Amino acid sequence: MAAPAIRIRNLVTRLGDRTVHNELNLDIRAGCLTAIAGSSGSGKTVLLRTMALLLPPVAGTIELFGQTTTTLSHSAERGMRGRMGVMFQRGALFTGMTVMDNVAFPLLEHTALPRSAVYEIARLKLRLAGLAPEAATLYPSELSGGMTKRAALARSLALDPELLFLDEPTAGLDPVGATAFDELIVHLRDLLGLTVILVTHDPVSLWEIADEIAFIGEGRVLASGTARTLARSAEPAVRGYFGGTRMQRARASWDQE
Amino acid sequence: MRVIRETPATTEPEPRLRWRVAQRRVVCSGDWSVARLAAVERQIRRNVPRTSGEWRINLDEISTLDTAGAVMVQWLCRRLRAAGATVRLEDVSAERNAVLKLAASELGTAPPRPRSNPLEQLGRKITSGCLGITEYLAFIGRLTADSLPRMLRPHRLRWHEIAVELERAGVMAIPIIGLLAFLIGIVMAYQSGDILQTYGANVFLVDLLGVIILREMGPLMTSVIVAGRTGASYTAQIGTMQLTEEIDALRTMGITPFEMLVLPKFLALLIALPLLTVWADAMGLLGGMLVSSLLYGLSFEVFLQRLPTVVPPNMLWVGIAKAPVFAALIASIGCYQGFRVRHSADEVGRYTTISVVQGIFWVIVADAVFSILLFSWLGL
Ligand SMILES: Nc1ncnc2c1ncn2[C@@H]1O[C@H](COP(=O)(O)OP(=O)(O)O)[C@@H](O)[C@H]1O
Ligand SMILES: [Mg+2]
Repeated sequence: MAAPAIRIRNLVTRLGDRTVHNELNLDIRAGCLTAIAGSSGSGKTVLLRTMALLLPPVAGTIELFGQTTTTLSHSAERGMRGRMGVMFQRGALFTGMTVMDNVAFPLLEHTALPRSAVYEIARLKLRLAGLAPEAATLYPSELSGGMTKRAALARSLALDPELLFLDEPTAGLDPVGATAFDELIVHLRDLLGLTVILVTHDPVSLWEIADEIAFIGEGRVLASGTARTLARSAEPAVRGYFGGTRMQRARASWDQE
Repeated sequence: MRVIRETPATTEPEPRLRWRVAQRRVVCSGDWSVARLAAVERQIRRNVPRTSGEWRINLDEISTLDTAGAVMVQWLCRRLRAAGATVRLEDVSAERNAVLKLAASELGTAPPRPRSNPLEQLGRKITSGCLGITEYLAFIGRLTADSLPRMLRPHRLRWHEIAVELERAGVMAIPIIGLLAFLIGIVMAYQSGDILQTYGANVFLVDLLGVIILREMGPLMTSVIVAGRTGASYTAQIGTMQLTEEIDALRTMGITPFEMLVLPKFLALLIALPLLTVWADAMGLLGGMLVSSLLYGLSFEVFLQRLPTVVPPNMLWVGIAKAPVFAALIASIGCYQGFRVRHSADEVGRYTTISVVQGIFWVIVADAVFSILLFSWLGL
């Protein structure tokens, strides 16, 4: 296998006086769908924000595409940001723009393409994310929860990122919508060759679409591997998480298939 | 693996289009990824020849093709077709084909939002302007209806919130208002003292400063500062709470936002503004006194002795009595504008601006009305 897309070594992050991660190590393989699991408040979102260059680490290194992020020049960092897309937990769509303008905005900022081309690309992204064309002219406050997620996904895909960070994309979706969203993510990964980092609690996502799961706890990666290996992990916290009834039900249905 | 876009050290060649007109072929090459497509787009827009017959497009030399690149390939095809040719893509790999297909089937455009004509916009502006007043009155009505029951039972008022607001709007404004009033006192004494001195009428400086500061400048200036400081913060706070659905959360708990948010602010400002006015009066007179004694030979003693004889006490009361009215205007306008925020962060900024501008506007209008009413009817 080629060099990992992301390599994290001895990462320490601190927010206020709370140490969220302590000596965390993690490799994320390119082209894979890596899920980050862990109980609420274990620091998944913080880890995602750190990888997405939104939060500088207190100590340790993060390498994205083989480059250490802490020593990047300004322009290199801008280039790096153009190669990743982030979908935030609450969508974070710009409330003053329509959905279409939300998706077009990063394109207008980062490329010299004329508006007609940008909007054509934006329409494609909206359709990729599974949004109806009618939704394009709506404002974020006029969207349902599921549409907000899709619009946020479309925007994170705007610049054709190689790295896609998704923070609990299926939380709050109906089961049908959640399954469709999972399928969409896998489809996009295959179609566009994305490296996807997915923070999720959804047992079905963990069992069915994750190539690899990193389980965060006590400020580090307690275990990593497929759902099957994690369910047999020696760590009690990990076994407890994967041995819960909801997890087991998801596993049972997965085993049947 | 790709090297960072936009950095000069990139190893991938520029995206290019080469027209082999004789062979009816277009050879595409280089890195067709979104950040570098602008040059290709220009070429497609400008260089498509008028032609007919079959053209072949070769994509083999393209090193990277992302979805934006695929859209550009489809644009090229569409341009050629529009120019009268038929187009065939030369053997494309299955993966690329999937991406290209995706870009090709995209033609269903969204219906544009209906645009209104200028006349309609004008009409809307006027009606919303007129309705704005009725909406504001409705807001006042609801505020009164929600607050009166509370006001009649003062032990049920939210004294804690009132105290917090009192601190923010009153106590924390003391330094800035004191300083500005002091400076304005200095400026006014300095400017008018010069003129009075030429007539040897230095002592009238006391009359002048007393009337202007106590009656007009004190309350007016305090209100303007409070409108900018506190009125704006009321709008921003309530507006943001609207966006994050906190207001709706309050409603579901059976707590009306008027009683929880507006009433404490309203009452706090009603208390704070008169007190701040007194403070501003004192600091303004102090500034005036300082200049009078330093430059125009009026000692503090002379000033303070003359002041009560030339400025009747009701002059002071008129000034202070105006303050609660101004406070009511500022608080109600600030809160009302906050509730108008519906959808976006833009609106928070917009309505905060409106809140300050309208707050100051109505304060000055009210002041003018006061002057005319009191002066012409009551002879004050
Ligand atoms: N801005 C912040 N300041 C202080 N602590 C924070 C901040 N954001 C998150 N935390 C804390 O960091 C921990 C991890 O948070 P988070 O990564 O959001 O958890 P989750 O794994 O549920 O996504 C939590 O205990 C949270 O209280
Ligand atoms: Mg989280």
